[in-house]
Amino acid sequence: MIDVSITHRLPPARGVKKTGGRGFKIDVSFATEDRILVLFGHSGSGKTLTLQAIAGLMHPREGRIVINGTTLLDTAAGIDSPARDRGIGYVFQDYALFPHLSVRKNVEFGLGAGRRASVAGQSGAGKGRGAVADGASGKRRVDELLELFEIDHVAHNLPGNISGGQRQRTALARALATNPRALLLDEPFSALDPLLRVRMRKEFSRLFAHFDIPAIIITHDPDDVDAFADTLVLYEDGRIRHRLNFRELRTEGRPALGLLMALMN
Amino acid sequence: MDFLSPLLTAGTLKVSVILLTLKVAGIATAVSSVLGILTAWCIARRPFPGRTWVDALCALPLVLPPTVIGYYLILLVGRRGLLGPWLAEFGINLMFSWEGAVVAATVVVFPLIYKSARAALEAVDHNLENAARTLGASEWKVFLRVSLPLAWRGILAGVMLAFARGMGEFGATLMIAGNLPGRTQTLSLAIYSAFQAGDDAQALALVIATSLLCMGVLILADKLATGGLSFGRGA
Repeated sequence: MIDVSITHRLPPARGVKKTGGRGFKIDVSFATEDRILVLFGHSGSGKTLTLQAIAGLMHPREGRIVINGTTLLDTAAGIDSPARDRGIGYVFQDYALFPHLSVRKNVEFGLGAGRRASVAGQSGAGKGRGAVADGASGKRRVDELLELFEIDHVAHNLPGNISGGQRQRTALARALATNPRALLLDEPFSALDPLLRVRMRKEFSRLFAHFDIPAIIITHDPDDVDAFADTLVLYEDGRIRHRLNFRELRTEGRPALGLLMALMN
Repeated sequence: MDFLSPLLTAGTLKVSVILLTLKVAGIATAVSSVLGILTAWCIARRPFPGRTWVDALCALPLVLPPTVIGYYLILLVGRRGLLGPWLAEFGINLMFSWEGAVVAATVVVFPLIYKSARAALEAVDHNLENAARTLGASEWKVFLRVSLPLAWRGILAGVMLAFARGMGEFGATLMIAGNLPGRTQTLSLAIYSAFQAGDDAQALALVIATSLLCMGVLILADKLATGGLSFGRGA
């Protein structure tokens, strides 16, 4: 379960004309019991800011963020856990792989961090995968992930020397290695060429079903909505314009493109 | 090539002077590296009130005349200085000792390391540091595993520059450590003494030795900067 409610105002950035010098105000609130929630909207509508707030990389002036019963942020109650304790898997738009560490070291990076104990105690999100443990079993889990994501043969390469698809798989494997409460993906397919994009969508659908972790995906590509959305939230200028149960719409066989064009104009 | 003959004359080149110089510059660079990198990390992380002032203070030795630095150090660690009596209780006397020369060189080279470390740390992609945080890394782990390795090349350039500068330190060293042959006389001080004494052969030998050492440091710095770690094409 994901329950997010944030209000924040960014000061006007120097040299940014888009906001007309008034700064940017975000005021959003949404909740879902579904596995995958898609945030759709134009660039600069506050989608990434929302993910950053959930991950603890941005601290909204007011807000409340609860995931699977754990309160990560509640400004009214003075709760604001730091990013490292939140247990949120974040796949950055440019993947943010550590360029000086091998694929394996990247995936291993989050193992041994202190917060896994608390995540492990919350088995509600997983379906019997068990907690990540230190030492040998941590290594085994990394081996499994590398194999599952088909990056075991490039495990010793640096991220700069592998393909775009492999980089993306590495980023997802790294985020999942820590057994996160929830997964956040910022335009996960935008850096890929169109053919690879179609393939990676299929792969990710399979992987999401396998891991069964609640996920929020940011996109401005209607194909991503078709492929992933259970709940669809449409952003516009820092506010929520629509919130839809997309699963129902999908069973009616309506492609997202027409719907989105109708809703966003 | 007559001017080279003094170099070849046995005994003219004082190896002990070179060793002392390398020792003083080496220790000063090491101490300044730890202090400079940690200071740069603290200051680069986020803005705080008075950051501009702290930054200016850290860079000050770069522009102050070395004699002014030496004078400040005497006020600080001299026998009747601010910390002098306290240090004396521990049996530490920095005046006219090679340790004093280390202190002088440490302060003089600090800004070179601090400046390059700050620029290098600020150039690290913040997304990478944020990624490490979401993976559960403490701020210290983010620094050691992500920021520092990625900034290392830029920092190293400053460290090498600092070492070369430390070897040539003259003014502040003279004021705090004096010019005692065999005890605190480093290369540049020995050159000055030899020249004053009219021992041109000795002076020339030391000048050439200093130049060769500095060339070596610069070439090493270049090798480390260009031939070092390469991460291939970026993402």
